[in-house]
Amino acid sequence: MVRKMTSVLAMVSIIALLSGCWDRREINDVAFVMATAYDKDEEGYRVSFQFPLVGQLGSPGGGGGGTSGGKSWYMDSATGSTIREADDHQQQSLPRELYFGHRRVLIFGEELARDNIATVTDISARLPENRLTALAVVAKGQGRDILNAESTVERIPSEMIRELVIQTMGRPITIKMMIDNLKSDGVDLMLPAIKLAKTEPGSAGKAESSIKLVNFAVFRGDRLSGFLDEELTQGLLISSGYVRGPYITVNPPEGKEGRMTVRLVEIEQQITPLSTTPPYTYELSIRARGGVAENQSDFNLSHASHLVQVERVLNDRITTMVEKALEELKRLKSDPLGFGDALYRKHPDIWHEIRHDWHEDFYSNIQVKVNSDIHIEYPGSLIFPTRKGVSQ
Amino acid sequence: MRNKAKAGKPASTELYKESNWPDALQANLSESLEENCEVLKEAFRSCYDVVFREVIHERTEAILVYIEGIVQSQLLDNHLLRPLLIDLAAESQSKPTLDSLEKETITLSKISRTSKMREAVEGILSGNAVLLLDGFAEGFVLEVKGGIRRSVEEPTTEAVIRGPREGFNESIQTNTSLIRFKIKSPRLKTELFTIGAETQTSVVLTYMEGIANAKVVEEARKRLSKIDIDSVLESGYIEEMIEDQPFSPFPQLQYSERPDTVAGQLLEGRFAIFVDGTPFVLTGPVTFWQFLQASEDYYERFLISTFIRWLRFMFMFIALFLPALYVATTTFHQDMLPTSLILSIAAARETIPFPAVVEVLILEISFEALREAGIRLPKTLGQAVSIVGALVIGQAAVEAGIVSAPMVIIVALTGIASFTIPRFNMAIAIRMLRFPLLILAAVYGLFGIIIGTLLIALHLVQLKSFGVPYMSGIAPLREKELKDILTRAPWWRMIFRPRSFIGRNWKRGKRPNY
Repeated sequence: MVRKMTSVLAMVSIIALLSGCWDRREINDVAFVMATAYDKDEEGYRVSFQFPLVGQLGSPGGGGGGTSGGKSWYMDSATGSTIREADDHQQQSLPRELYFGHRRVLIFGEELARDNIATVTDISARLPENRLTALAVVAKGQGRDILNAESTVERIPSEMIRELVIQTMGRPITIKMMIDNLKSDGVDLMLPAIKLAKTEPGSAGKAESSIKLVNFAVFRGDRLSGFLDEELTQGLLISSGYVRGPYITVNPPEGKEGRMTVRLVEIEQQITPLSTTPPYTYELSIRARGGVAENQSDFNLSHASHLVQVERVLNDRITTMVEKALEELKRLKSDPLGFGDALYRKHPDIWHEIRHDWHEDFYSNIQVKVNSDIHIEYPGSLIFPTRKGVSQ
Repeated sequence: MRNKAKAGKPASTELYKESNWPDALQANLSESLEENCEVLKEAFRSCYDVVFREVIHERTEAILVYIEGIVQSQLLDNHLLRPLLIDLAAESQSKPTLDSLEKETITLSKISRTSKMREAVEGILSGNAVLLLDGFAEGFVLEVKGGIRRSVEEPTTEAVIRGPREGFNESIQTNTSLIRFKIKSPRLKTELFTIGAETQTSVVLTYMEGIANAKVVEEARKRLSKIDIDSVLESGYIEEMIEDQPFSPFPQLQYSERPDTVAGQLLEGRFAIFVDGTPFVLTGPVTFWQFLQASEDYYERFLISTFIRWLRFMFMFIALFLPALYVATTTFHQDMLPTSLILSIAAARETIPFPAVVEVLILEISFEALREAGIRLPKTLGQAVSIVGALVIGQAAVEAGIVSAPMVIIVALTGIASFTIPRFNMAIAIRMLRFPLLILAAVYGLFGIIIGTLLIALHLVQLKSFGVPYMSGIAPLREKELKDILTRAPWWRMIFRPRSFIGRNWKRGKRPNY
C-alpha cells in the first residue's frame, strides 16, 4: 500500500514538473477579440480590435439586460512596427488579456492591401491561438472605420460582417484558404470587400452607420489590384463557383414586356485549357440549376418549351456578365479564377516555362470561351403570371 | 496483504472467547439441578428479562430458563409446559428419562441435547429456551426463537416500477426463506457462521453448488472464518472485513435489499452473505458493470432496458466528468467552446467574484450537503430542505452574484446524473472521484482530466473481487458476456451464465421452440 501510494505521489509530482501550464485564465480576465482590422500607418501597422463587453450582453440575473445607450462592444486601436508589437501596445491600455481564440473576422484596410497583404497573415498561421477558420475581408478605405459601425441586428458588428460574407458566398474564404492561395502561383486571391454604409429608415427614422458588402477585391500576388463593381462581382462569383444562390434578372424572351428574376442553385464551374501555345485559349463552362423566383412579364411559363426559351436568355445574360468580368480581370492583371493553375494542372511543363511572365505577357491575351448551361427546373408554384389579360 | 496479516493469529476468535468466559461456564453440566441453577443465576445476575421457570411435580423436578421477549412463549406454553405438567402427571408412572421426554412428551419440532453449560448459556442468549432436569448431566435446548420482527415490506432503497414488492427484513431466517421461495433447488447451500464475540451474530454464506466457482466460495468461507471482531451489527462490518482492497473507492461487494436481485446473483454463480439483523444482503464477487444494472432491467423489455442501460453509462460519465470538463474548458481551453456559448458563459460570470473552480466547489459541496441533510432529516422536514436548496442555491445565489447560472446547470445536471446509477455505493464512489478530477482539471486543464482518468482506469483494471477482475467482460474481454454489459440481451439469447465466475454448468436454457 505504502509503495503504491509513493508511486502515485511520484507520478503526480512528475506531472507537476512536466506540465508547466500554469496558464489558467478566468473568463472574466479575458477579452475575446472577435475581429481585428489592419491598416497601414507611419509606424508600420495600425491594428484595431473589437471585442464584446460581456457585461453588456445581458447576463441572466446580473446586469439585467445592460444599461441603455451603452455599446455592447469595445473598439480600440494601436500601432506598432509588427502586428504583435501593436497587440502589445494595445494590451498596455487593457485590463483584460487579449484572446484571439475566438476571432472570426480579419479586415484588411485598402491601403495595406494595395501595399502588401502577405506579411500580415504570418502571425495568423504562426500562433496556434489564432483561428485559421476566421474570415478575411478587405475594407474600402480604412479598416478601422468599419469596426466603428453600428450594428443593431447582430450583437457585435463583426458578427454582422461574418454573416454577410457567409450569406453571399456559400464557401467563404478563410484565413487558411487565403494563405494557401497566396502561396500557390497560377491563381490569385480574391476577397469580399466591405464598406461603411448608412441605413435608410426614411424621414421619420435616424440613419445609422452600417456595413455593406458590395464588391470583390481582386489581387495580383499579394497586392490588391482593384475592386470589381456590383455587376462584375456577380460575373466573377458565378464563374468562380463561390456564389450562393444568386438572383439574375433578365428581360423575358420574345421581346415581351416586364422583367423576370431567376434564382440559381448548385453552380458548377470548370476551366479547361484548349491550346498549348500562346495565345492560350480556355473553355469556361458553367452549369447550374435554377427556378423562377419572380415573373413580372406577361411571358407564359406553363410549357416546358417556354422554360427552354428562358434558359436561352439566361445563358446569354450569364455569358455576357462573365465575359465582362473577365475583361476587367485581364485589365487588372489579376487571375482569381486560376487560368494559370488550370494550365499548370494540364501542362505543367509549359507552365514552368512561362510562369514568371504569366501576368505580364500571357494572361491579358488569353481567350476564354464561356459556355453557360442553365437548367430551369421549376417555374415556381404559380404557373401563370398574375398580370391580367394574359392568354392561358 | 490483509489475509497474510490475519493468518499470523490462528484461531484467535476461540482464544478470545474462552478467556473471557468464567470457568463455571466452561464446565460440563452437573447432575444436581441446584448446582446448575446456581451457575446460571450467577451468569444472568442483574438480568431482569431472564426467566427461571421451575417445573415441579411428583416425579420430575426441572427448570426452564429463557429470555423474555426473544422467545415465542406460546410455543413453550403449549408444547413444553402443558405436556410436562398435565400429560406427564396424568399418564406415566415411571420417572421420565431424557429419551422418553424427547421422543414422547415434548412436542416441539426442533430440540437438541447438550451437556455443556456454555452451550446452554449460548442457547438462552440466542433466543432458545433451556430445560434442565434434576439427576441428569444433560439438558435440552429448545428451538423457540421468536420475538418481534418487522414484516416483509417493500424495499425502500431499490424501488422498481415492475418487479416483486418484497424486501428483506432484519430476520435472517425470513431472509434465507425468501430466497428458498425463489430457488427451489437442493443446490442452494446455506452455511452458518457465528461471528462477533459479543454479538454472536448469525452469518449465512449462500451459493449454488455446481454453479458457483468452488474456489471463490472456498475463498469466501476462508475470509468469513477469519473475521475477528467483537460485534457485527450490519453487513457493512462483514463487507469491510472481507473485501479485497479496503482503500479503493469502488465497492467490491454489492448489497441488496431485494430477494429477486440476490436470487439472480446466486444463479449467475455468485455467493451471497446474509447477516442477522439487517435487510442488506451482500453478494460477490462483483464486476463494475453490475452496479449499472438494475433488477428491473431484466423484467422490462430488453430493447428498453438496453436503451436505459446506455443512458446510465452516459450519465455516469457526466456525473464523473462534467464539472471537471466545465472548469477545464472555461479556464484553460476557451477556444474549444463555440463562440456564442463562451460569450454567454462570460456574460453570466461577469459579476462572479470567484474563479470557476471555487465556484464549482461551493456549489458541489452545498449540493452534497443538501443531499446528506435530506437523507438524515425526518421525512416531514425533507421538503423544507429541498425548498431551501432550490430557492437559496438555485435562485438567490445566482441573483446575488455568488455563483453563475451556467454553473448551477452544470452542478444540477451532475447531481441528477449521479442519481441514475442504480447502486448507491457505486454512485457515491463516482461522486467522490469527481472532486479529485475537479482539482486536477483546475490545475492542469484537460491534461489533468486525462491523467485522472488514466489513474482511475489503471486502478479499475487491477482491482479484483474474490479473484474475479473488476472489469470482467471488458477487461479481460469476454465477447459472450458483452451482451449483458453493453446491451441487455433477451433472455433467450442469454443462454450462458457469465463465465467469469464459474467453471462448469454454465448453460441456462434455451428459447422454446414454438
